[in-house]
Amino acid sequence: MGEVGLYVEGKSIIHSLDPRVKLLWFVFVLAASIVCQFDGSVSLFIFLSLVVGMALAGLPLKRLLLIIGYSVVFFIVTILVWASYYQDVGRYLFTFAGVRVTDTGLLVGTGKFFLIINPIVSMLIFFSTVKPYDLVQVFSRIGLPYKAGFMLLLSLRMLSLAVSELRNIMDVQKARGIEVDSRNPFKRVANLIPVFVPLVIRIMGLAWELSITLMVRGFGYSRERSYAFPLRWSSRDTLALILIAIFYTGIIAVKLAGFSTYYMIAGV
Amino acid sequence: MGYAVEVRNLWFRYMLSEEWVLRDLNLAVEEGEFIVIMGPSGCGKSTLLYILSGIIPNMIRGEVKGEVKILGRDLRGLRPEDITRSVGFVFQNPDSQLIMPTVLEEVVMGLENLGLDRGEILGRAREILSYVGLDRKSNMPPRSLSAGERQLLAIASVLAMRPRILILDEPTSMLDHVGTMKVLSLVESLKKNLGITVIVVEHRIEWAVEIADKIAIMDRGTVVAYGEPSKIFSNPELIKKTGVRPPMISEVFYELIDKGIKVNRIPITTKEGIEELRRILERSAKPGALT
Repeated sequence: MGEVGLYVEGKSIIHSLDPRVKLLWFVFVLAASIVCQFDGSVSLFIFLSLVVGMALAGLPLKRLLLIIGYSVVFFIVTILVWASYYQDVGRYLFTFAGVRVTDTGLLVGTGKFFLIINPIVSMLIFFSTVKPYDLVQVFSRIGLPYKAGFMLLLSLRMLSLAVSELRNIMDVQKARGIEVDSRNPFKRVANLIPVFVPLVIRIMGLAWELSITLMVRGFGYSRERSYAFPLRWSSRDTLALILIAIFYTGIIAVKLAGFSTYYMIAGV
Repeated sequence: MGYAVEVRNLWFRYMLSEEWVLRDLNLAVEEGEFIVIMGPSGCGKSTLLYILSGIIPNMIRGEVKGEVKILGRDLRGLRPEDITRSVGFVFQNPDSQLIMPTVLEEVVMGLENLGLDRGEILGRAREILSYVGLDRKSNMPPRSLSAGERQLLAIASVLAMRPRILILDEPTSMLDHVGTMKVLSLVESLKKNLGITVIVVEHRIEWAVEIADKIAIMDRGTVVAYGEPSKIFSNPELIKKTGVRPPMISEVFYELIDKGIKVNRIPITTKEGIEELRRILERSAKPGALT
């Protein structure tokens, strides 16, 4: 059995916050990233706030580095696309891959990049610090059917079961002489067929058994579900929400008022 | 005491299938009885258990003929939630029965689905975890438990819902020896301490004859023999015909009978076997007394 989702056990201040605070944090991050999508020099502060959040949560730096690492290509492509779109607007900075990069193109490119990355990091913090058990309650408390939250939990469980089954099947097929790790890419693809066919069959079987388990445990029979560990909103949650609201509405307000960190530093 | 399960002239075939999986099956289980079902693969054991636990027809469609009563009520008139409250079901693979991230959360899940209040949920969960010996591991993730402990957890999660009938479909088939012993001793204790009706498909015959009130042997979709273990295994012809392996000690005595040695009764446990052998040896002291 593998991990259930991304959750990392911890006792940090971020872990102890009510999941609803973290969900609202995500909403604020999304809103601020949308408002700042044309100015990466302001969006950067949203990203930095999330880095601080990750540090406060005690999440492994590896997770952030993984996101940054996987985003490099996306970052370069975004910059190139938007820089080429804005190459005749703003002050010329440099030429990259044949594209004339201006300050406006760079600001918009980074703004668009953060528009995608900031909500992803925010969700990463959410899923890394909210217990899967609490996810179901969060859905119920915000008015969605608890079944929806439970489906999310189940999909995380299925994912871990599927990974575990995949490892088992690969080991078995390797033992039978199938070169799953062949250097020849065509051979490797062909050799994956005897891995994926049994995997799909096995996953279908597991899904079937999970559905029986849910049935025998009475899932979905009553409209109201009780909770052994209900969410409790504390004054600390209120304080955290106020701080989050002040920070991100502040960013939204200054951006809407026309502020740009870059133009302020550049003296434009 | 009334019947926990009454099955009369039950026929069943799966949707789109021509073949009847269960054929004119009859079975009556009294409340509090411990029944072990045996039989070759494909004889319909699991199908029967699916019907008794309401999985058929609520999740699996097919044609059902005959009568099935659970605790005196016709299964067709019961809502799925009524069946869930009365019948607990545990199957082979512990991993696919565990959903929640911690042991305690796993046990409380079913109770939360029933909508019980917090105090009762936690009370029942702690009680059952203590009963199965997992109370010290309540905050651990199920993946950190051994396979046997994970099956104990699956059983505990069902028991916490306090079913009056517990159905186990080969609960030890995926476990090692230590895990098997843990699960079997828990199942034994259910009979002794909780008094609930237990219906289990299990192939460990030596264990079954020690613990079961009755054994049902199934073959080709029907129950071909049903009764106390000593009566079931006193009929070597029937046992050979069904392909069920008798207890080793009974097999020894079948051989002795084949060799023409007179026996008072066919033993089913080692203890009975030793007593019977002692009687035979005592008789053998007299010349020509064995035959």
